[in-house]
Amino acid sequence: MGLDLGALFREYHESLVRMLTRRTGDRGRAEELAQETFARAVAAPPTNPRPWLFAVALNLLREEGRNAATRERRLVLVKDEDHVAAYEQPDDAYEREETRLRVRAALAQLSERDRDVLLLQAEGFDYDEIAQATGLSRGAIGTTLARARKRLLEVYTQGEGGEHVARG
Amino acid sequence: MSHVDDGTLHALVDNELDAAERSVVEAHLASCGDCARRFAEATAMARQVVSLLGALDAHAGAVRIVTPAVAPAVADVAPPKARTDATVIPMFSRFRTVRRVAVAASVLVVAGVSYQVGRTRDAAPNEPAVSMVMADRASRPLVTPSVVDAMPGSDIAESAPAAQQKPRNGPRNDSEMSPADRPEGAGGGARDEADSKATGSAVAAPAAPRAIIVPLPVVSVGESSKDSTTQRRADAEARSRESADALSRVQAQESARAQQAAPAQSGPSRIASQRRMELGQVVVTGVAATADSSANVADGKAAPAKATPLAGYTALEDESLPSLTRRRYVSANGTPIVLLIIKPPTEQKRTPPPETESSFVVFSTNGTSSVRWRARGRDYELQGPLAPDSLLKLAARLK
Repeated sequence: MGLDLGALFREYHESLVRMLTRRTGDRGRAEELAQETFARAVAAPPTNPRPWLFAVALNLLREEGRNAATRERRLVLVKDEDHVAAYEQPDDAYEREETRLRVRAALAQLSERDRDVLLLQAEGFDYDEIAQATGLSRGAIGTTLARARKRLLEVYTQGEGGEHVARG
Repeated sequence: MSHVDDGTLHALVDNELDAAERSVVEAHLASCGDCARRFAEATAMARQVVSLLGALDAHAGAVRIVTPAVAPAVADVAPPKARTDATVIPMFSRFRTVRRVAVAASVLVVAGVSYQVGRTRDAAPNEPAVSMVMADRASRPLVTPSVVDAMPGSDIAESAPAAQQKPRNGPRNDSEMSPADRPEGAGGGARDEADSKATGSAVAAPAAPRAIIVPLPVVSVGESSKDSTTQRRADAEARSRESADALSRVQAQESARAQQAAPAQSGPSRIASQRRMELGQVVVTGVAATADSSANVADGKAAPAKATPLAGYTALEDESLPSLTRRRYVSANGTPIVLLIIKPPTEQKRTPPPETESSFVVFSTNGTSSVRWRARGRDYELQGPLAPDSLLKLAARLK
Protein backbone atom coordinates (compact mmCIF):
# COMPACT_ATOMS: atom_id res chain seq x y z
CA MET A 1 0.00 0.00 0.00
CA GLY A 2 1.40 3.28 -1.03
CA LEU A 3 1.77 6.09 1.34
CA ASP A 4 1.43 9.64 0.21
CA LEU A 5 3.80 11.16 2.66
CA GLY A 6 3.25 14.58 1.21
CA ALA A 7 -0.46 14.40 1.84
CA LEU A 8 0.11 12.97 5.26
CA PHE A 9 2.50 15.73 6.06
CA ARG A 10 0.23 18.49 4.85
CA GLU A 11 -2.69 17.11 6.74
CA TYR A 12 -1.18 16.31 10.08
CA HIS A 13 2.14 18.00 10.48
CA GLU A 14 0.86 21.28 11.81
CA SER A 15 -1.41 19.61 14.30
CA LEU A 16 1.28 17.22 15.38
CA VAL A 17 3.82 19.94 15.91
CA ARG A 18 1.31 22.01 17.81
CA MET A 19 0.45 19.15 20.09
CA LEU A 20 4.09 18.31 20.65
CA THR A 21 4.92 21.91 21.28
CA ARG A 22 2.23 22.14 23.86
CA ARG A 23 3.43 18.94 25.34
CA THR A 24 7.11 19.78 25.45
CA GLY A 25 7.19 23.54 25.50
CA ASP A 26 9.89 23.33 22.88
CA ARG A 27 8.95 24.08 19.35
CA GLY A 28 12.24 22.91 17.99
CA ARG A 29 12.04 19.59 19.70
CA ALA A 30 8.45 19.27 18.58
CA GLU A 31 9.59 19.71 15.01
CA GLU A 32 12.27 17.11 15.46
CA LEU A 33 9.88 14.63 16.94
CA ALA A 34 7.42 15.27 14.15
CA GLN A 35 10.11 14.67 11.59
CA GLU A 36 11.06 11.44 13.20
CA THR A 37 7.44 10.43 13.39
CA PHE A 38 6.88 10.98 9.71
CA ALA A 39 10.05 9.14 8.94
CA ARG A 40 8.69 6.17 10.77
CA ALA A 41 5.45 6.48 8.91
CA VAL A 42 7.40 6.01 5.72
CA ALA A 43 9.11 2.95 7.08
CA ALA A 44 5.86 1.39 8.24
CA PRO A 45 2.89 3.00 6.57
CA PRO A 46 0.00 3.17 9.00
CA THR A 47 -3.52 2.30 8.04
CA ASN A 48 -5.04 4.84 10.34
CA PRO A 49 -2.59 7.69 10.10
CA ARG A 50 -3.73 10.24 12.58
CA PRO A 51 -3.88 8.20 15.79
CA TRP A 52 -0.84 6.31 14.63
CA LEU A 53 1.21 9.42 14.06
CA PHE A 54 0.31 10.91 17.38
CA ALA A 55 0.87 7.68 19.21
CA VAL A 56 4.31 7.32 17.68
CA ALA A 57 5.14 10.90 18.49
CA LEU A 58 4.08 10.50 22.08
CA ASN A 59 6.07 7.33 22.36
CA LEU A 60 9.11 9.04 21.00
CA LEU A 61 8.57 11.70 23.57
CA ARG A 62 8.41 9.18 26.34
CA GLU A 63 11.55 7.53 25.13
CA GLU A 64 13.40 10.69 25.69
CA GLY A 65 12.68 10.26 29.32
CA ARG A 66 14.38 12.27 31.90
CA ASN A 67 16.57 14.14 29.52
CA ALA A 68 13.46 15.76 28.25
CA ALA A 69 12.56 16.96 31.69
CA THR A 70 15.93 18.52 32.05
CA ARG A 71 15.66 20.24 28.76
CA GLU A 72 12.24 21.57 29.54
CA ARG A 73 13.51 22.97 32.74
CA ARG A 74 16.27 24.68 30.97
CA LEU A 75 13.94 25.94 28.34
CA VAL A 76 11.55 27.46 30.80
CA LEU A 77 14.30 29.11 32.70
CA VAL A 78 15.64 30.63 29.58
CA LYS A 79 12.25 31.82 28.66
CA ASP A 80 12.05 33.50 32.02
CA GLU A 81 15.15 35.41 31.18
CA ASP A 82 13.71 36.34 27.86
CA HIS A 83 10.76 37.54 29.73
CA VAL A 84 12.85 39.96 31.65
CA ALA A 85 14.56 41.03 28.50
CA ALA A 86 11.24 41.71 26.90
CA TYR A 87 10.20 43.93 29.72
CA GLU A 88 9.24 46.77 27.51
CA GLN A 89 6.68 44.80 25.66
CA PRO A 90 3.04 45.70 26.09
CA ASP A 91 1.20 44.47 29.10
CA ASP A 92 -0.83 41.99 27.17
CA ALA A 93 2.30 40.29 26.01
CA TYR A 94 3.41 40.13 29.58
CA GLU A 95 0.15 38.59 30.65
CA ARG A 96 0.15 36.18 27.80
CA GLU A 97 3.52 34.96 28.81
CA GLU A 98 2.42 34.75 32.39
CA THR A 99 -0.51 32.65 31.34
CA ARG A 100 1.63 30.45 29.22
CA LEU A 101 3.98 29.67 32.03
CA ARG A 102 1.16 28.91 34.38
CA VAL A 103 -0.49 26.61 31.91
CA ARG A 104 2.74 24.81 31.39
CA ALA A 105 3.17 24.40 35.09
CA ALA A 106 -0.39 23.15 35.47
CA LEU A 107 -0.05 20.75 32.59
CA ALA A 108 3.06 19.38 34.16
CA GLN A 109 1.07 18.47 37.22
CA LEU A 110 -1.08 16.04 35.30
CA SER A 111 -0.28 12.45 34.84
CA GLU A 112 1.19 11.62 31.51
CA ARG A 113 -1.90 9.80 30.41
CA ASP A 114 -4.20 12.64 31.35
CA ARG A 115 -1.97 15.10 29.63
CA ASP A 116 -1.80 13.12 26.43
CA VAL A 117 -5.53 12.62 26.31
CA LEU A 118 -6.12 16.28 26.91
CA LEU A 119 -3.75 17.35 24.19
CA LEU A 120 -5.06 14.86 21.68
CA GLN A 121 -8.60 15.94 22.31
CA ALA A 122 -7.56 19.53 21.83
CA GLU A 123 -6.29 18.53 18.40
CA GLY A 124 -9.76 17.39 17.46
CA PHE A 125 -9.30 13.70 18.10
CA ASP A 126 -12.50 11.86 18.77
CA TYR A 127 -12.61 9.31 21.53
CA ASP A 128 -11.91 6.44 19.17
CA GLU A 129 -8.80 8.08 17.90
CA ILE A 130 -7.67 8.99 21.37
CA ALA A 131 -8.16 5.40 22.40
CA GLN A 132 -6.10 4.22 19.46
CA ALA A 133 -3.35 6.67 20.10
CA THR A 134 -3.09 6.05 23.79
CA GLY A 135 -4.10 2.44 24.13
CA LEU A 136 -6.84 3.31 26.56
CA SER A 137 -10.27 1.83 26.15
CA ARG A 138 -12.79 4.08 24.57
CA GLY A 139 -14.96 3.91 27.65
CA ALA A 140 -12.20 5.37 29.77
CA ILE A 141 -11.67 8.42 27.67
CA GLY A 142 -14.57 10.45 29.01
CA THR A 143 -13.56 9.79 32.59
CA THR A 144 -9.97 10.56 31.86
CA LEU A 145 -10.86 13.80 30.16
CA ALA A 146 -13.15 14.80 32.99
CA ARG A 147 -10.40 14.25 35.50
CA ALA A 148 -7.74 15.91 33.40
CA ARG A 149 -9.74 19.03 32.67
CA LYS A 150 -10.72 19.43 36.28
CA ARG A 151 -7.20 18.96 37.49
CA LEU A 152 -5.70 21.31 34.96
CA LEU A 153 -8.09 24.09 35.86
CA GLU A 154 -7.65 23.51 39.56
CA VAL A 155 -3.93 23.69 39.38
CA TYR A 156 -4.07 26.61 37.03
CA THR A 157 -6.37 28.72 39.18
CA GLN A 158 -4.92 27.91 42.54
CA GLY A 159 -1.46 27.27 41.28
CA GLU A 160 0.97 29.91 40.23
CA GLY A 161 3.03 30.49 43.36
CA GLY A 162 5.94 31.09 41.08
CA GLU A 163 6.47 27.56 40.02
CA HIS A 164 7.23 28.21 36.47
CA VAL A 165 9.51 25.36 35.97
CA ALA A 166 7.76 22.59 34.27
CA ARG A 167 8.40 19.04 35.13
CA GLY A 168 8.25 16.65 32.30
CA MET B 1 -31.91 7.13 37.17
CA SER B 2 -28.87 7.80 39.21
CA HIS B 3 -26.83 10.90 38.55
CA VAL B 4 -24.66 11.06 35.52
CA ASP B 5 -20.98 10.41 36.14
CA ASP B 6 -18.33 12.90 35.12
CA GLY B 7 -17.02 10.78 32.31
CA THR B 8 -20.39 10.57 30.69
CA LEU B 9 -21.00 14.26 31.14
CA HIS B 10 -17.75 15.08 29.43
CA ALA B 11 -18.50 12.57 26.72
CA LEU B 12 -21.74 14.40 26.18
CA VAL B 13 -19.91 17.69 26.05
CA ASP B 14 -17.60 16.22 23.47
CA ASN B 15 -20.50 14.76 21.55
CA GLU B 16 -19.10 11.29 21.98
CA LEU B 17 -22.21 9.48 23.21
CA ASP B 18 -24.14 7.32 20.86
CA ALA B 19 -27.73 8.21 20.25
CA ALA B 20 -29.19 5.90 22.88
CA GLU B 21 -26.87 7.05 25.64
CA ARG B 22 -27.35 10.59 24.68
CA SER B 23 -31.12 10.55 24.95
CA VAL B 24 -30.99 8.89 28.34
CA VAL B 25 -28.53 11.39 29.72
CA GLU B 26 -30.33 14.39 28.30
CA ALA B 27 -33.51 13.18 29.83
CA HIS B 28 -31.85 13.02 33.19
CA LEU B 29 -30.33 16.46 32.86
CA ALA B 30 -33.72 17.88 32.13
CA SER B 31 -34.97 16.63 35.45
CA CYS B 32 -31.90 16.98 37.65
CA GLY B 33 -30.70 20.45 38.55
CA ASP B 34 -27.44 19.20 40.01
CA CYS B 35 -26.51 17.25 36.94
CA ALA B 36 -27.58 20.07 34.67
CA ARG B 37 -25.33 22.39 36.61
CA ARG B 38 -22.47 19.90 36.41
CA PHE B 39 -23.04 19.59 32.70
CA ALA B 40 -22.78 23.34 32.35
CA GLU B 41 -19.58 23.26 34.36
CA ALA B 42 -18.17 20.49 32.23
CA THR B 43 -18.97 22.46 29.10
CA ALA B 44 -17.24 25.52 30.48
CA MET B 45 -14.29 23.45 31.58
CA ALA B 46 -13.82 21.93 28.19
CA ARG B 47 -13.94 25.33 26.59
CA GLN B 48 -11.59 26.79 29.14
CA VAL B 49 -9.10 24.01 28.76
CA VAL B 50 -8.99 24.44 25.03
CA SER B 51 -8.40 28.11 25.57
CA LEU B 52 -5.65 27.53 28.08
CA LEU B 53 -3.91 25.03 25.87
CA GLY B 54 -4.08 27.58 23.13
CA ALA B 55 -2.10 29.88 25.35
CA LEU B 56 0.75 27.48 24.95
CA ASP B 57 0.79 28.30 21.29
CA ALA B 58 0.87 32.01 21.76
CA HIS B 59 4.61 32.03 21.84
CA ALA B 60 5.20 28.72 20.26
CA GLY B 61 6.87 30.31 17.32
CA ALA B 62 8.90 32.47 19.60
CA VAL B 63 10.08 29.74 21.86
CA ARG B 64 13.75 29.61 21.56
CA ILE B 65 15.17 26.28 20.79
CA VAL B 66 17.44 25.82 23.70
CA THR B 67 19.53 22.78 23.55
CA PRO B 68 21.72 22.10 26.51
CA ALA B 69 24.08 24.96 26.62
CA VAL B 70 26.75 24.14 24.16
CA ALA B 71 29.05 26.91 23.38
CA PRO B 72 30.20 26.65 19.83
CA ALA B 73 33.02 24.26 20.13
CA VAL B 74 36.28 25.65 19.11
CA ALA B 75 36.90 22.56 17.14
CA ASP B 76 33.79 23.31 15.17
CA VAL B 77 35.02 26.57 13.96
CA ALA B 78 35.25 26.49 10.25
CA PRO B 79 38.63 25.77 8.84
CA PRO B 80 40.70 28.87 8.94
CA LYS B 81 40.54 30.97 5.90
CA ALA B 82 44.06 31.35 4.88
CA ARG B 83 45.10 34.61 3.53
CA THR B 84 46.34 34.24 0.08
CA ASP B 85 47.99 37.56 -0.12
CA ALA B 86 50.77 38.97 1.86
CA THR B 87 48.63 41.18 3.95
CA VAL B 88 50.13 42.05 7.20
CA ILE B 89 47.80 41.32 9.99
CA PRO B 90 47.42 43.59 12.94
CA MET B 91 48.93 41.62 15.64
CA PHE B 92 47.84 42.77 18.99
CA SER B 93 44.47 44.08 18.26
CA ARG B 94 43.28 43.24 21.65
CA PHE B 95 43.63 39.52 21.65
CA ARG B 96 40.21 39.30 20.34
CA THR B 97 39.44 37.15 17.46
CA VAL B 98 42.04 34.54 17.65
CA ARG B 99 40.85 31.05 17.99
CA ARG B 100 42.93 28.68 16.08
CA VAL B 101 46.01 30.61 16.33
CA ALA B 102 49.30 30.09 14.84
CA VAL B 103 49.13 26.39 14.54
CA ALA B 104 46.73 26.92 11.72
CA ALA B 105 49.42 28.70 9.97
CA SER B 106 49.70 29.09 6.35
CA VAL B 107 52.98 30.57 5.67
CA LEU B 108 52.58 33.28 3.19
CA VAL B 109 55.43 35.62 3.18
CA VAL B 110 58.97 34.77 3.69
CA ALA B 111 61.52 37.32 4.47
CA GLY B 112 64.94 37.14 5.81
CA VAL B 113 65.24 39.58 8.56
CA SER B 114 66.84 39.73 11.86
CA TYR B 115 64.22 39.61 14.41
CA GLN B 116 65.37 41.26 17.49
CA VAL B 117 63.90 39.79 20.49
CA GLY B 118 64.11 42.77 22.71
CA ARG B 119 61.23 44.75 21.39
CA THR B 120 59.00 45.80 24.17
CA ARG B 121 55.44 44.91 24.31
CA ASP B 122 54.51 48.54 24.50
CA ALA B 123 55.22 48.88 20.91
CA ALA B 124 52.97 46.07 20.08
CA PRO B 125 49.44 47.38 19.78
CA ASN B 126 49.71 49.17 16.52
CA GLU B 127 52.45 47.16 15.13
CA PRO B 128 52.05 45.33 11.92
CA ALA B 129 51.20 41.80 12.61
CA VAL B 130 53.99 39.56 11.74
CA SER B 131 54.85 36.08 12.48
CA MET B 132 58.33 34.94 12.40
CA VAL B 133 59.86 31.75 11.40
CA MET B 134 63.45 31.53 12.12
CA ALA B 135 65.40 30.87 9.05
CA ASP B 136 66.41 27.47 10.12
CA ARG B 137 62.87 26.46 9.91
CA ALA B 138 62.55 27.59 6.39
CA SER B 139 62.63 24.02 5.29
CA ARG B 140 59.01 24.00 6.13
CA PRO B 141 56.89 24.47 3.10
CA LEU B 142 56.24 28.08 2.55
CA VAL B 143 53.55 29.57 0.50
CA THR B 144 54.24 32.29 -1.96
CA PRO B 145 57.49 33.29 -0.53
CA SER B 146 58.66 36.73 -1.15
CA VAL B 147 61.28 38.70 0.54
CA VAL B 148 59.91 41.61 2.37
CA ASP B 149 61.50 44.09 4.56
CA ALA B 150 59.38 43.47 7.50
CA MET B 151 59.46 45.16 10.80
CA PRO B 152 60.76 48.44 9.65
CA GLY B 153 61.99 50.58 12.38
CA SER B 154 62.79 47.75 14.60
CA ASP B 155 66.14 48.14 16.02
CA ILE B 156 68.52 45.43 16.64
CA ALA B 157 70.06 46.88 19.70
CA GLU B 158 68.54 44.59 22.20
CA SER B 159 68.90 40.92 22.14
CA ALA B 160 66.95 38.71 24.37
CA PRO B 161 68.20 35.67 26.13
CA ALA B 162 66.48 33.66 23.51
CA ALA B 163 68.65 35.13 20.89
CA GLN B 164 71.78 34.57 22.80
CA GLN B 165 70.96 31.05 23.29
CA LYS B 166 70.09 30.40 19.77
CA PRO B 167 73.16 30.19 17.64
CA ARG B 168 74.53 27.57 19.88
CA ASN B 169 75.46 25.50 16.92
CA GLY B 170 76.48 28.41 14.89
CA PRO B 171 74.60 29.92 12.03
CA ARG B 172 73.16 27.35 9.83
CA ASN B 173 72.83 27.46 6.18
CA ASP B 174 71.60 25.40 3.38
CA SER B 175 74.76 23.46 3.08
CA GLU B 176 73.92 21.81 6.32
CA MET B 177 70.55 20.77 5.19
CA SER B 178 69.90 17.50 3.58
CA PRO B 179 68.32 17.75 0.18
CA ALA B 180 65.17 16.29 1.56
CA ASP B 181 64.90 19.14 3.97
CA ARG B 182 65.31 21.76 1.39
CA PRO B 183 62.27 23.52 0.28
CA GLU B 184 61.61 22.87 -3.33
CA GLY B 185 60.57 25.24 -5.99
CA ALA B 186 60.00 28.82 -5.20
CA GLY B 187 60.45 28.26 -1.54
CA GLY B 188 64.06 27.38 -2.02
CA GLY B 189 64.98 30.54 -3.77
CA ALA B 190 63.29 32.68 -1.26
CA ARG B 191 64.95 30.80 1.45
CA ASP B 192 68.35 31.23 0.01
CA GLU B 193 67.70 34.84 -0.22
CA ALA B 194 66.44 34.88 3.27
CA ASP B 195 69.45 33.10 4.48
CA SER B 196 71.87 35.41 2.88
CA LYS B 197 70.03 38.34 4.21
CA ALA B 198 69.87 36.84 7.60
CA THR B 199 73.52 36.14 7.48
CA GLY B 200 74.13 39.77 6.95
CA SER B 201 72.07 40.55 9.93
CA ALA B 202 73.87 38.03 11.92
CA VAL B 203 77.03 39.86 11.25
CA ALA B 204 75.61 43.04 12.59
CA ALA B 205 73.98 41.39 15.52
CA PRO B 206 75.37 37.95 15.91
CA ALA B 207 73.06 37.05 18.68
CA ALA B 208 69.95 37.85 16.74
CA PRO B 209 68.26 34.87 15.29
CA ARG B 210 67.37 34.92 11.69
CA ALA B 211 63.74 35.26 11.14
CA ILE B 212 61.19 34.83 8.48
CA ILE B 213 58.19 36.98 8.63
CA VAL B 214 55.11 34.94 8.28
CA PRO B 215 51.69 36.41 8.46
CA LEU B 216 49.24 33.82 9.50
CA PRO B 217 45.70 33.24 8.45
CA VAL B 218 43.11 35.15 10.29
CA VAL B 219 40.45 32.94 11.60
CA SER B 220 37.29 34.87 11.49
CA VAL B 221 35.43 34.47 14.66
CA GLY B 222 33.36 37.54 14.81
CA GLU B 223 33.88 40.24 17.25
CA SER B 224 31.53 39.86 20.06
CA SER B 225 31.13 40.99 23.56
CA LYS B 226 32.88 37.87 24.62
CA ASP B 227 36.05 39.77 24.78
CA SER B 228 36.63 39.22 28.39
CA THR B 229 39.55 37.91 30.21
CA THR B 230 37.78 34.77 31.11
CA GLN B 231 36.79 34.23 27.57
CA ARG B 232 40.29 34.67 26.42
CA ARG B 233 41.54 32.29 28.96
CA ALA B 234 38.92 29.81 28.06
CA ASP B 235 39.94 30.19 24.49
CA ALA B 236 43.52 29.64 25.35
CA GLU B 237 42.58 26.52 27.21
CA ALA B 238 40.53 25.30 24.35
CA ARG B 239 43.33 25.95 21.98
CA SER B 240 45.67 24.03 24.12
CA ARG B 241 43.36 21.11 24.26
CA GLU B 242 42.72 21.28 20.62
CA SER B 243 46.33 21.46 19.82
CA ALA B 244 47.15 18.58 22.02
CA ASP B 245 44.37 16.63 20.51
CA ALA B 246 45.40 17.33 17.01
CA LEU B 247 48.93 16.65 17.94
CA SER B 248 48.32 13.20 19.08
CA ARG B 249 46.35 12.53 15.97
CA VAL B 250 48.84 13.72 13.49
CA GLN B 251 52.02 12.96 15.22
CA ALA B 252 52.53 9.72 13.49
CA GLN B 253 52.17 11.39 10.16
CA GLU B 254 54.33 14.29 10.82
CA SER B 255 57.65 12.85 10.03
CA ALA B 256 56.61 11.60 6.68
CA ARG B 257 54.93 14.82 5.88
CA ALA B 258 57.90 16.82 6.83
CA GLN B 259 59.95 14.87 4.39
CA GLN B 260 57.53 14.67 1.59
CA ALA B 261 55.54 17.78 1.81
CA ALA B 262 55.57 19.57 -1.46
CA PRO B 263 56.33 23.20 -1.17
CA ALA B 264 54.43 26.29 -1.70
CA GLN B 265 51.20 25.45 -3.30
CA SER B 266 48.56 27.72 -2.11
CA GLY B 267 45.23 26.21 -1.46
CA PRO B 268 43.38 24.55 1.32
CA SER B 269 44.96 21.16 1.09
CA ARG B 270 48.41 22.60 1.14
CA ILE B 271 47.50 24.65 4.12
CA ALA B 272 45.85 21.82 5.90
CA SER B 273 48.78 19.56 5.56
CA GLN B 274 51.12 22.24 6.62
CA ARG B 275 49.03 23.03 9.57
CA ARG B 276 49.27 19.51 10.69
CA MET B 277 52.93 19.62 10.37
CA GLU B 278 53.04 22.69 12.46
CA LEU B 279 51.13 20.92 15.11
CA GLY B 280 53.87 18.50 15.73
CA GLN B 281 55.27 20.69 18.36
CA VAL B 282 55.10 21.20 22.00
CA VAL B 283 52.96 23.92 23.30
CA VAL B 284 53.22 26.45 25.99
CA THR B 285 50.19 28.57 26.23
CA GLY B 286 50.13 31.61 28.28
CA VAL B 287 48.74 35.01 28.84
CA ALA B 288 51.73 36.42 30.54
CA ALA B 289 51.95 40.12 30.39
CA THR B 290 55.59 40.32 31.10
CA ALA B 291 57.56 37.31 31.78
CA ASP B 292 59.93 38.92 34.18
CA SER B 293 57.45 41.06 35.93
CA SER B 294 57.99 39.35 39.17
CA ALA B 295 60.77 37.83 41.12
CA ASN B 296 58.38 35.35 42.51
CA VAL B 297 60.26 32.42 41.28
CA ALA B 298 58.88 29.05 41.90
CA ASP B 299 61.75 27.11 40.56
CA GLY B 300 59.82 23.97 41.07
CA LYS B 301 59.10 24.51 44.70
CA ALA B 302 55.40 24.15 44.35
CA ALA B 303 55.87 22.10 41.30
CA PRO B 304 55.79 18.45 40.68
CA ALA B 305 59.20 17.05 40.40
CA LYS B 306 59.22 16.97 36.65
CA ALA B 307 58.05 20.47 35.98
CA THR B 308 60.53 22.69 34.32
CA PRO B 309 61.19 25.69 36.49
CA LEU B 310 60.10 28.88 34.90
CA ALA B 311 61.19 32.02 36.59
CA GLY B 312 58.33 34.24 37.47
CA TYR B 313 55.88 31.41 37.31
CA THR B 314 54.69 28.90 39.77
CA ALA B 315 54.19 25.42 38.51
CA LEU B 316 50.77 24.14 39.39
CA GLU B 317 50.52 20.69 38.01
CA ASP B 318 52.00 18.25 35.68
CA GLU B 319 49.68 16.04 33.79
CA SER B 320 51.28 13.43 31.72
CA LEU B 321 49.76 11.62 28.85
CA PRO B 322 51.38 9.01 26.71
CA SER B 323 52.53 11.42 24.07
CA LEU B 324 52.51 14.72 25.80
CA THR B 325 53.02 16.39 29.09
CA ARG B 326 50.98 19.32 30.13
CA ARG B 327 52.42 21.70 32.60
CA ARG B 328 50.64 24.60 34.07
CA TYR B 329 52.22 27.66 35.49
CA VAL B 330 50.86 30.80 36.89
CA SER B 331 52.68 34.07 37.14
CA ALA B 332 52.65 36.29 40.16
CA ASN B 333 49.90 38.35 38.69
CA GLY B 334 47.81 35.31 38.03
CA THR B 335 48.60 34.82 34.42
CA PRO B 336 48.23 31.20 33.48
CA ILE B 337 50.69 29.45 31.28
CA VAL B 338 50.33 26.03 29.86
CA LEU B 339 53.23 24.07 28.55
CA LEU B 340 52.70 21.05 26.41
CA ILE B 341 55.62 18.87 25.66
CA ILE B 342 55.23 16.39 22.94
CA LYS B 343 57.37 13.37 22.78
CA PRO B 344 57.76 12.54 19.19
CA PRO B 345 57.06 9.03 18.10
CA THR B 346 59.96 6.70 18.17
CA GLU B 347 60.67 6.81 14.51
CA GLN B 348 60.95 10.54 14.71
CA LYS B 349 63.54 10.35 17.36
CA ARG B 350 65.77 8.59 14.94
CA THR B 351 65.61 11.41 12.51
CA PRO B 352 65.41 14.65 14.35
CA PRO B 353 65.99 17.47 11.92
CA PRO B 354 69.24 18.72 13.34
CA GLU B 355 68.87 22.17 11.94
CA THR B 356 65.92 22.82 14.14
CA GLU B 357 67.66 22.09 17.35
CA SER B 358 69.16 25.49 17.53
CA SER B 359 66.38 27.64 16.28
CA PHE B 360 63.06 28.99 17.20
CA VAL B 361 60.03 29.34 15.06
CA VAL B 362 57.81 32.22 15.89
CA PHE B 363 54.35 32.58 14.54
CA SER B 364 51.81 35.16 15.25
CA THR B 365 48.39 36.16 14.28
CA ASN B 366 46.71 39.13 15.72
CA GLY B 367 46.84 38.73 19.40
CA THR B 368 48.42 35.35 19.72
CA SER B 369 51.91 34.22 19.12
CA SER B 370 53.61 30.94 19.35
CA VAL B 371 57.19 29.94 19.60
CA ARG B 372 58.32 26.52 18.67
CA TRP B 373 61.54 24.79 19.07
CA ARG B 374 63.02 21.40 19.21
CA ALA B 375 65.36 20.30 21.90
CA ARG B 376 66.59 17.02 23.15
CA GLY B 377 64.47 15.17 20.71
CA ARG B 378 61.26 16.79 21.80
CA ASP B 379 59.14 19.45 20.30
CA TYR B 380 57.96 22.40 22.21
CA GLU B 381 55.59 25.14 21.49
CA LEU B 382 54.89 28.19 23.50
CA GLN B 383 51.64 29.79 22.61
CA GLY B 384 49.61 32.63 23.92
CA PRO B 385 48.32 36.12 23.37
CA LEU B 386 51.69 37.67 23.83
CA ALA B 387 54.14 39.70 21.92
CA PRO B 388 56.43 37.35 20.06
CA ASP B 389 59.41 38.64 21.89
CA SER B 390 57.84 37.94 25.24
CA LEU B 391 57.11 34.44 24.18
CA LEU B 392 60.54 34.08 22.77
CA LYS B 393 62.04 35.08 26.08
CA LEU B 394 59.97 32.51 27.85
CA ALA B 395 60.88 29.93 25.31
CA ALA B 396 64.53 30.70 25.68
CA ARG B 397 64.27 30.16 29.37
CA LEU B 398 62.47 26.94 28.96
CA LYS B 399 64.70 25.54 26.36
